[in-house]
Amino acid sequence: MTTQTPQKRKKPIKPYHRIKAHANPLSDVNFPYPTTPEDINWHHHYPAYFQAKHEIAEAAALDTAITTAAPTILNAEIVGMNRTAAEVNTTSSQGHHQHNHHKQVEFADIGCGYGGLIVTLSPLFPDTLILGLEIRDKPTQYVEERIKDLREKKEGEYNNISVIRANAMKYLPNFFRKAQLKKIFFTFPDPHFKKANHKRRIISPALLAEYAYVLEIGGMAYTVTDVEELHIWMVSHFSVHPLFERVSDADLEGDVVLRSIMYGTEEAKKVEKVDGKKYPAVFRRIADP
Amino acid sequence: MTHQIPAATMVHGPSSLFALGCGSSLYLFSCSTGQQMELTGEKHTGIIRSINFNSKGSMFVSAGDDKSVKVWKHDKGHHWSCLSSRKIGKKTTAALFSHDDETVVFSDKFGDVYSFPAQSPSPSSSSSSTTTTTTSSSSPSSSSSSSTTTAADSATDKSNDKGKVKNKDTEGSQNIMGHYASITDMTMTPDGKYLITADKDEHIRVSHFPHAFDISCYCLSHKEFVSRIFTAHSLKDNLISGSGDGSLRLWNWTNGHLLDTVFIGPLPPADPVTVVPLAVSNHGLIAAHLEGSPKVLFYRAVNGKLEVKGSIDLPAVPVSCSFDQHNWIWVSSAKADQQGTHLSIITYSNEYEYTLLHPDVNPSLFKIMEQIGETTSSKVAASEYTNMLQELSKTAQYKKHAGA
Repeated sequence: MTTQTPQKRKKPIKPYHRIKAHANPLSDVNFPYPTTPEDINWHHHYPAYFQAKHEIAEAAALDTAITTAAPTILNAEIVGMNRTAAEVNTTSSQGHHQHNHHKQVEFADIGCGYGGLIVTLSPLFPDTLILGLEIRDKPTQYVEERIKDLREKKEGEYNNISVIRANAMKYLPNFFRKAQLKKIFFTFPDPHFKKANHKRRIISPALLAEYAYVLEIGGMAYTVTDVEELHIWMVSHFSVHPLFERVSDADLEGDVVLRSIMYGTEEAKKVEKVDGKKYPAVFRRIADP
Repeated sequence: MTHQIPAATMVHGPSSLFALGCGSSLYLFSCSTGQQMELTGEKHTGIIRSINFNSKGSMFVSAGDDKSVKVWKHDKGHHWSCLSSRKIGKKTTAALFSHDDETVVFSDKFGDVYSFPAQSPSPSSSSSSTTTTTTSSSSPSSSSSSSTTTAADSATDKSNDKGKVKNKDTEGSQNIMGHYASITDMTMTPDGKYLITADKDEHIRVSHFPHAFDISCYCLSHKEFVSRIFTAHSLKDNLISGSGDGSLRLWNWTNGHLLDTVFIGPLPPADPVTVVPLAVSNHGLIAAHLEGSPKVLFYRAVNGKLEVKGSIDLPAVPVSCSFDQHNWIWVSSAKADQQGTHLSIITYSNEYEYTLLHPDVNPSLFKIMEQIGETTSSKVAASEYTNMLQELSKTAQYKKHAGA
């Protein structure tokens, strides 16, 4: 249990991107957000996996001359693309990219902060697309730069992670389709201690319905916090929700993901430094009993 | 001054029942005889926003700005009485019955949806009552929901009782789901198995019912708040929605697919005008208008497309509409310094010729309409009238973004 008021916490190691730790997720969003998941420019986030729209248009021009139904891959370095002429022609005019039937974001870090978790997870799941969502502008920019930096320094790596500025509490269904995600993370969320602010907590009965919606059946929700009261809050809310069941410690034995959330985020490392206790809890999305 | 308060909501129920709310005044009539029903019970003290009957027409629910939800039942003859009244923490935006008439469901401006057994009496007014809970018990505002309240929690908890009071005030109701934005409208699907809720954040959500914690799909595409949504037996698996983005949309609520979009009103770069679907008939005729405009437009959903079916220019701006059992449209308009009452009826012989009901066409119905109009008329001063119109404007309440 921490007794310091959260507002006094600073991020000492990121001076250019330091910002107050708390944003009010309940106020109207004043930055852009997608209308539907199809409106997100995935090429911008994962260029190694998604082609840009103009490239697809060129491909379409080429493909119409080809009568074969065999898949056509224009750029040999692009992984995971598997288009046929028919697929290209049905691209929605609003989309920035070809809907890649084989690739979509499968892990989402809700409130990814400075990106520690997604960077840790990237090499552990090199072929899984991982997206961090962060409501604050500065940390989002920091993570963008961090990923760019990593991709430049390590050829061929870190292509599977990205960050997007988002108010996950208001607009999660705008980012992910039903049952799209395999894993969703809530690491060291803002405790919002005051009772009046409890509605700002990232775990609530109303939001659990949305988390269940974006998770596939069998998908997992990982939580960890160093605030015991918040841990109890999250556990009790998840536990009473009919679409979630707690995953036992036995089942989590050796889970690399659990290790990542316990030790691989900026907050986790801070807690380690002061020998604080961390409380993880993992839940599985189940079908309506 | 002869400014009349229009009905913010009206609905035709089974057995020729007709209920409307003009300001805070609630009325019930038989529109086949014109007989006014007696409603015994504590009156609403704020604008009534939603009225809905149960399937048998033996009960109805009314709710609105006075933060209360009232259930009324038919006693005998023309006597109806208030079976229960609940005080909520926030203004109520919609209230309806489940298909089996067993449950009343209502939504509020905070974004939450609650339900309670239709037959249950008013909750006792003891202040320490909490929500009756079965499944999604703990509401964020009540820290007593977690099994242990730690010292840290109460020590840092300074703004205790001034916090969200909605939990305390929703006695006897269960919170079944919530949006994180005001719920602007709510409807049940014709099979009674799904609850559809629309909000200020452009979302339309289709949830299972009664397991509203299980989301079926979303209908996403609107770029501004959703003004109203309609389902109907005549629409089958189609959903109609209107929005502050100036569009009327047709969806398939079983999978969330957008079937058709019609933009009404000014084109960009002009600001869009809110489209409000007003009513849907038993035979699938959809009435809609631009908020603040006296022109009512008609559409039909044909093979997944919205087809225009004509329009009518009314003498005054319609505020609420409802199709009666003959599929004629009763309209309550905002009338300032005009003759007649706030009520009128739009008739049509085929779907391209709409006219206001003339006394010669159906004298008895005209007389009933006039009678009801007179009875429900309340005339106010110009300033109060202007305020009232502002309260009734969805654009004023919900619009966020400036410009297209």
